[in-house]
Amino acid sequence: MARQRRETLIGGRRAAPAGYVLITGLVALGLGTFLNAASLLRTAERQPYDSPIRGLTVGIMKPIVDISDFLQLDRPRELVDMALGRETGATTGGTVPVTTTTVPGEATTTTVPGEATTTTSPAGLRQPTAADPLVLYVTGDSFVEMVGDAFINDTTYIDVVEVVSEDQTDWDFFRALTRPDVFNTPEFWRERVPEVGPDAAVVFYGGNDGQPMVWNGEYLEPDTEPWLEAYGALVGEAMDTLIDGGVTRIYWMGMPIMSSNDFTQRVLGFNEVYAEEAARRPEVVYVDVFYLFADENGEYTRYLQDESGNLVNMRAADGNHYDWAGAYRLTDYVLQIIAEDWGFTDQL
Amino acid sequence: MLFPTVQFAVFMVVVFLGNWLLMQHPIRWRWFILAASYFFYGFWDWRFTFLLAGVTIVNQFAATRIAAARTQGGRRLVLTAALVVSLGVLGFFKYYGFLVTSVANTLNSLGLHANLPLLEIILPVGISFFTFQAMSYVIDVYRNKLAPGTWLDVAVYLAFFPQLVAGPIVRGTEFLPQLHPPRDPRHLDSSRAFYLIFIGLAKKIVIADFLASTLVDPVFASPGLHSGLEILFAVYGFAVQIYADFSAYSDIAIGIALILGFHFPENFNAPYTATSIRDFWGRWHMTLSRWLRDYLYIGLGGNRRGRLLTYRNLMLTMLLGGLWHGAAWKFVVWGGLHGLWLALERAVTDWRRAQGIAPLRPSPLLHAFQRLGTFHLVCLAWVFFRADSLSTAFTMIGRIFTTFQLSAPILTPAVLIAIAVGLGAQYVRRPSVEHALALFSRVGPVLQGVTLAFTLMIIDALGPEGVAAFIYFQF
Repeated sequence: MARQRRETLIGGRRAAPAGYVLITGLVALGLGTFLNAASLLRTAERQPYDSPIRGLTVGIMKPIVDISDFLQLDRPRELVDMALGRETGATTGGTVPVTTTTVPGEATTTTVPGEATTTTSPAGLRQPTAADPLVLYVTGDSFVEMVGDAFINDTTYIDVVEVVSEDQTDWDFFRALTRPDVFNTPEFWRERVPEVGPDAAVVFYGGNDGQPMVWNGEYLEPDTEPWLEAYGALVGEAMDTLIDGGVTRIYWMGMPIMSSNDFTQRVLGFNEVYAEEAARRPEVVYVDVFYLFADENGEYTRYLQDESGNLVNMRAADGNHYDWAGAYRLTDYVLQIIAEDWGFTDQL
Repeated sequence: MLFPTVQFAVFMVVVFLGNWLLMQHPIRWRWFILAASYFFYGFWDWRFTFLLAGVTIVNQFAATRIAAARTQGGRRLVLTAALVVSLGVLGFFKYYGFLVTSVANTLNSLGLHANLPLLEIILPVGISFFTFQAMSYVIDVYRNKLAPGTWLDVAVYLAFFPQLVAGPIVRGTEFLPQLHPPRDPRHLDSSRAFYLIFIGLAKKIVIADFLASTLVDPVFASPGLHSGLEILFAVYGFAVQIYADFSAYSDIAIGIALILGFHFPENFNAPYTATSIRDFWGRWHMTLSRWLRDYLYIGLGGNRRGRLLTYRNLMLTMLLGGLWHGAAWKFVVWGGLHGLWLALERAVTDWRRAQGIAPLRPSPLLHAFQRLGTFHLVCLAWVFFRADSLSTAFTMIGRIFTTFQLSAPILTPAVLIAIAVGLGAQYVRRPSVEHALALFSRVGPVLQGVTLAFTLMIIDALGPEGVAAFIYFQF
């Protein structure tokens, strides 16, 4: 068969038959996969353990990474990453050994439907001043987005408080305590906390934690008793890391009521874990906000009244994360607790 | 399913093969593309597919009834009913909460406490785009610009996945004729298609996501912590970010359609080179501008009923255009500002004409001045569009003037380069791009693939980990 004549299109461009386009596309995707193999493997490994896509993509990508390495097809990407000052290589994988320190505490917990509740520890904290302010560290997962900024904004005019956290450094949307292979929070805090030297920390986790995890070589499904036990150990380790880093008071945030019944049941389990682990450590205050975002009947609602009595949307488009109004509602509430603890309620 | 993901790449290979293998079997081809499009849409939430199917059925039923109606009154009645249903669906999913809270808060400010029912409604992805397409189809049938398509053709038109969730808004008059005859697999404008897809990926991943995470999001979240200079550049940064983000989606959508054999209308044409607000709207989200002009502005009477009504029509069109972007007062203000400027431009032109004043003689200096002025007016409106509330927007504008200082640690060289590239690229002349594409189209497919693979590697290396959703999905 005679070679097909390739028609010339506008601007001198030549048209191509679909077969050519398919070859171009497959070469681009195929070679692109080998060139970016390590990056694609990292992306695949970030999927939840129970996702069928994760198993499939990790299974495909691991040998591709090896072949890419053998053929040195990963070198161009490494050079580019090096030129950009980026870290290269695959993820660390596995779980983190947990060292749990259990300190009997004297905490008390009260929970009243319709009202936010706290677990409080005896105070005895230093009095922050403008010259020596309370250094506050806000950290966590996707539930800090907007809340972290609300903390920064709300404390701008409070002389005795300095927030030292930064977006995407101290909080980011993909973090989960149950996925140290994606982001190892305790390891990060061991480096970061001494850098910023906080007196107190406000910690949010739970948004992404409800996924299967591998614990001591065992695969655990969320919401089961063994999973919750393992999760408790991870939460305890996280609390201890902050305490060991010199944080004198930790405000561990509970999760709010969620839009779906399943997610709500799950976060109730999380909240029990947080309260139990906080109760074991006098430095930790568990802040229960479950009903802070519920209506007068204790049911989920997206809309609540603000200080002016206006109905405003508290949640982001997914119905779970906080929108700006929700972030400020939460921040105002937590700042009140912190101010009572540290004796600066007059500044609010 | 987001465009810049591995899942979509795999999906696209399957669709490409099916598309061209089934091309000679028109009915099978239609069912295949329809299934692929519903799969693509259902990937977000399978329940949304019922909404898409419902909108399709209602509007196609209306179109056939309009064509069959014997009287003008009957045609108008069916059209009105179809528009009420489409706008009702859009209003319920997109504006219900906004309307109820606005009414409740207004009553509250008057001392009247109303307990209005609030519902938990999920906003279906892309609802504004496919309802607008459906409305344009029925209106075109009513205006005798288009004969009703078959049920299958219209279902394919409204669900066609490249433009389904974030445009461009393709009209029935542009899409349906392309279904007949079958597209020719021997003559694909692939070099332009690959250019659009890859330039789209670069704009989204390298420019938009980078500027969002390093400059725009932090400054808009806490403007009180940033100097006037930083806020000013964050506004410029957002102007570049939203252009890079939205035009990226359009580019990729047009490119994907092109390798499937379809030609979509252009959606952006270097909007920040505009010399007036009117010129800007001829270059920014062009398919929405044309939609608003043809189905709303002209429907309101356009410029045929005197000057004052023309200004009113411009204002109303832009206010509703603002509201189309989201259920919040800030979008209304954004649209209102554009409406005001369009009306003012028109009023000045009318006044000069009435006074017999000749138009200004074009010169490079005049163009530069007009471009600078237009860009800053557009940026002023972007502040309202992006800020989380009206009060934050006013705070930011105030701080630009009251806290202006040269200290700006957030403005790193990389940030400034990204802004400069985002703006400067709009001045790249088309012949330069066309020349490069012509060269690219002349090399063999393997070499093309290798070039694209290395381009992909650089884009992936330059972008942040993970891909943020496109901004216009929420509209």
